[in-house]
Amino acid sequence: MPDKKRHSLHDLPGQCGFVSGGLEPNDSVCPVTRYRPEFVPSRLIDEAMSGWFPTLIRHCIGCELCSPDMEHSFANCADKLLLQGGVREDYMPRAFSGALDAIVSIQLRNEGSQNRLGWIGEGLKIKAPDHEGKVALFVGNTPYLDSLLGDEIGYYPTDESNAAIELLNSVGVEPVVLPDEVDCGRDRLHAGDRAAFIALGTRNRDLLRERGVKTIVTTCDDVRYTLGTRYPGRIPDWDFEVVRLADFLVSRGGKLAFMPTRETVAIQPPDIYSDPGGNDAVRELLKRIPELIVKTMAPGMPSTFGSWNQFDSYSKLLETDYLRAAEATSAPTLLVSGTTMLVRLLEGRRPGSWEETSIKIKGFYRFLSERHTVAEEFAGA
Amino acid sequence: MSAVDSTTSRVLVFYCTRQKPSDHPGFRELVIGESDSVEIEVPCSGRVGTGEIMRGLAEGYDRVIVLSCGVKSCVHRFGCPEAKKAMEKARKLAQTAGLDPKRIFFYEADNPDGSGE
Repeated sequence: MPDKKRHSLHDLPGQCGFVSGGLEPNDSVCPVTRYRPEFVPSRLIDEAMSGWFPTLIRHCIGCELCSPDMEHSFANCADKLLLQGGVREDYMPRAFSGALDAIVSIQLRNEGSQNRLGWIGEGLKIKAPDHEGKVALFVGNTPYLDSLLGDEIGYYPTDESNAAIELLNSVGVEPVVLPDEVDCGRDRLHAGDRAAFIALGTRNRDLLRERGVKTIVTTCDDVRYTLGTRYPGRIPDWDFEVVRLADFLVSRGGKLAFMPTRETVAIQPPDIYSDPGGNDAVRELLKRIPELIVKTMAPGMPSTFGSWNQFDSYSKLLETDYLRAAEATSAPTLLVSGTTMLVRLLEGRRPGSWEETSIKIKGFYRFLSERHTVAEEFAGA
Repeated sequence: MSAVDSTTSRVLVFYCTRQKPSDHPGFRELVIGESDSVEIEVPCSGRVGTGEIMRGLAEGYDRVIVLSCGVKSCVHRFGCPEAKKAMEKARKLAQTAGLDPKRIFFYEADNPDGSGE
């Protein structure tokens, strides 16, 4: 079968849309192509290289879902194109009328110390600010999202961070939580602001090094992807191990046991974005909860809805389809393991919204921490 | 309400089109003082969101002030409460970011004495 379309950048992976000819939009890993078949990332690159800068390319900046190999990736090409002046001032839409973006600007100005640890619950143990530790919990913007969204959606995103500390404590880890951690920079990278992205990453690197950190644990798939995949090669001397909490708990949490729970929950099947190591750690941890019935959503749903500044119709379609797939499992509760994704789903389906859903959306780590117990009591030890 | 001690600071003012700063001598004297001010007219103070206030701080303004109608006099009814809500959120964000939340000031024209400091 002859190729339907040919592109000059043959080194691009063939899964972005129509590059390999036989692919249909639904076979694509590109979430935008799925809803907009005419959106072909490799074609956009061709157009950009020919001198015309297509505005749609902003969907691709920093995405990398189609590009496991960063050096030859689509996104790497997009980065280079952006440096050629493809991004204009205010090119990207800004979420929350620019509030989060402004916070990042304030962080970059470095005017003073942040007060971002007030959310940590009583009794939870973290390393004192003057103590070193090998494991850090990267919480990203959750303290800010508390202020921005908490009262409106009835959910405070640091709840998931508190649950994470609780679980880490239960496996004997007192994590470092940086009092002056700055944004991971994903949104700035999506917006084509590479200089800010590198400045943020460099700041995080220095702060983590000061505390002697070797491993970064996160509850957010987007943070894991940014720190684990986008920082290396872009942030000089970035040599930290970045793992999501589920993987860390499976590897370190031999003693982790849970109370029996007669419930049915839905989860998303692992994919390359959320589970690059193929450990299926989320399901592995849920298997340890006696009597819990776990239903898996149909494959094909993305593990990210894009950056905060991509509140466009495609992101909304992704969210809606995601919830439909969850509802189709007939489970009353959906567990979401990525914090940003969790907040996006809750924010879009707040009570009273026309998009309100019947399925209960819950954070995976809070679900675990509520059921966590002493190993000896229920593990038969 | 006390006079502002700021002779060289930069102030960003958002004001409702029905409440011009010049109509309120007390506002200019007590709130803006001798500061250099940039004044932006908006159709309604409810139009000023958390993002606009935070972007003012991010741009380096020492204070961001919203001059609004009162709850009762707002022709849109929701304007003043919305602006207040945005201001409260912005103050929380500013505090978390390590900035003084008092850098965000809300001046309610109907009730200047009760305006937020």
